[in-house]
Amino acid sequence: MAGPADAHDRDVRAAERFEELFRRHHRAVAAYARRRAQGDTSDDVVASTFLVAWRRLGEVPADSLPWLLAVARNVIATQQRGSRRRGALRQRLERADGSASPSAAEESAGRVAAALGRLPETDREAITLIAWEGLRPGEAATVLGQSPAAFRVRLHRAKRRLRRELDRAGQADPHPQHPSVVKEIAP
Amino acid sequence: MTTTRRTRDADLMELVRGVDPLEGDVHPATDAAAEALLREILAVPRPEHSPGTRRSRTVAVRLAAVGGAAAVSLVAITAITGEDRGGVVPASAAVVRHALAAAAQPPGTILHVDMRGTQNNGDGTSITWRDESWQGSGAADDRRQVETNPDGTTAESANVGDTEQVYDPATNTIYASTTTANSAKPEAQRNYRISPGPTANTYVVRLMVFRVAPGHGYRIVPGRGQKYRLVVTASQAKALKDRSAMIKWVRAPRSAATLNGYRPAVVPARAAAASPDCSDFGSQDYGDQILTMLRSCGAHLVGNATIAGRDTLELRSQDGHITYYVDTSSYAPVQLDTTGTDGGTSLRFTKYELLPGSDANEALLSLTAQHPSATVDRNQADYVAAEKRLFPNG
Repeated sequence: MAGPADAHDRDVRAAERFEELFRRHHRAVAAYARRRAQGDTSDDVVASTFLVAWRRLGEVPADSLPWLLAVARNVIATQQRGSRRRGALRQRLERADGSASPSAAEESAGRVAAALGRLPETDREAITLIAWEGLRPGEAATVLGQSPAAFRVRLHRAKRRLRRELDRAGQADPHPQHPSVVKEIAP
Repeated sequence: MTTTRRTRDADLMELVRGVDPLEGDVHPATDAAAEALLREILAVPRPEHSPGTRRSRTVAVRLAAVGGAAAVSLVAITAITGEDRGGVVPASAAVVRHALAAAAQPPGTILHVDMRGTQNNGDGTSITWRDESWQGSGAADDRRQVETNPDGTTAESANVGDTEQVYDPATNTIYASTTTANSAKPEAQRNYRISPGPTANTYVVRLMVFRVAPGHGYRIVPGRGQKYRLVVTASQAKALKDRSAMIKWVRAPRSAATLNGYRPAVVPARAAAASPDCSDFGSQDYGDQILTMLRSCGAHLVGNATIAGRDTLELRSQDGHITYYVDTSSYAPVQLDTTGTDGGTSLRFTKYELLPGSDANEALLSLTAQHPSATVDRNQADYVAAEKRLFPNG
């Protein structure tokens, strides 16, 4: 039967494990939150995410970053449902197309951002988890609560939709003069 | 076709990376703010887990505003599903977690400690000393310390990378060793002779130590070199004979009874190999002592106490040999008392603060930065002579 000393040791081990988890992933979770949370609420998202991790430490898997980002995603979704606001990222991306007198590079980036903003949230999330958070497809699948196979299909479709949006905006390719990018190579 | 698809995918993802809102941005939260958040979360009781019922609950937790970007107001988390049987971690455990976080040194910081020590030798005599130190936490773990001896004299030394330095104010010279200090700590020893002691139920353990390089540590060699005599109890002698205990060199205040700042101690063999020995708490330094006590010695909250006018929380190890007082607000170390068979030691911390790793603070780790006009002498013989002169007790 476990005594007080066992409970104490378990508690201290949990604190050590959480501290290691926090130190390893705080910056990644904070970056994820800052990209997506409304205004100055990213700190709240980070705090809530790690608080959930602390309370449910026994459920945190060894590959913990995707799990943490999934929690952060849920926290942000809860925030946005509560405030009846659209996602901060989508707003930010849509605004990127409307800047006054942009340079050519800014205009190009603005169109990419706007195209990204027009994607459904899950498509946009599939792409940005890979491109911005640097996750592997299997990790991104965990964040979205999908199987790796389902995620690959979603990512493929998301990229296709993004290309379509860019085509509409005349930005289908960053190097249109490069034939290998424009044309299919015959097998 | 695959090549084309990959190329197009890569370019597409590169376009997306180009509109990353944080591209080239540095996260504004400072390490200190993150540390503050970590401490606040660790203070929140965790539900005890069991495979029993699951239920949803709403948790509202106030994470106190600590400062800067980490200032977090009321955070409400809805619909957190947890496994909760209603158990609450005792307040004592939360205090231990606080104390652990307050005593730990995050990477990239400098720990500044000003400490007064008193050692009661168990025979009515005692020694006192003061030790002010600056400890880095980077790859090199540089350290500078100023030791004030009982007679009021001071000795300043530093560890820079793998080398040691001492500063002699009389000649305004920094003497730097030219060999590494890695061997400065004598390790566990299994070669010794045990004979009946001076009084009933005591035994004498005779150790042989051979000083490999003066000023650079000791190697244990049976049958030759310098003799060291240690009086132990009958039970300790029996444990040494049946190999359930062993001799381990542990850090001790410099005195005539220490070798290069270490003294031999009888410790359980398994504890010495795998886990800290809380019953004979003579481990490396006070930082390790505190962390070991909190992590592995069954530390628990006893109550409140006033130490040198400061309100403190009193924590005690399970065996009662270690008492640790922390500030009631910051949980910073205030005093660490250890008792053993041969007296006890009390370390009072008048300062225990973390400094950010700025250039100005990094200079606190360096003797050359603190004494820019000093001559640096890299002759090994001069270093050894200076060490003997400045640290006559070892």
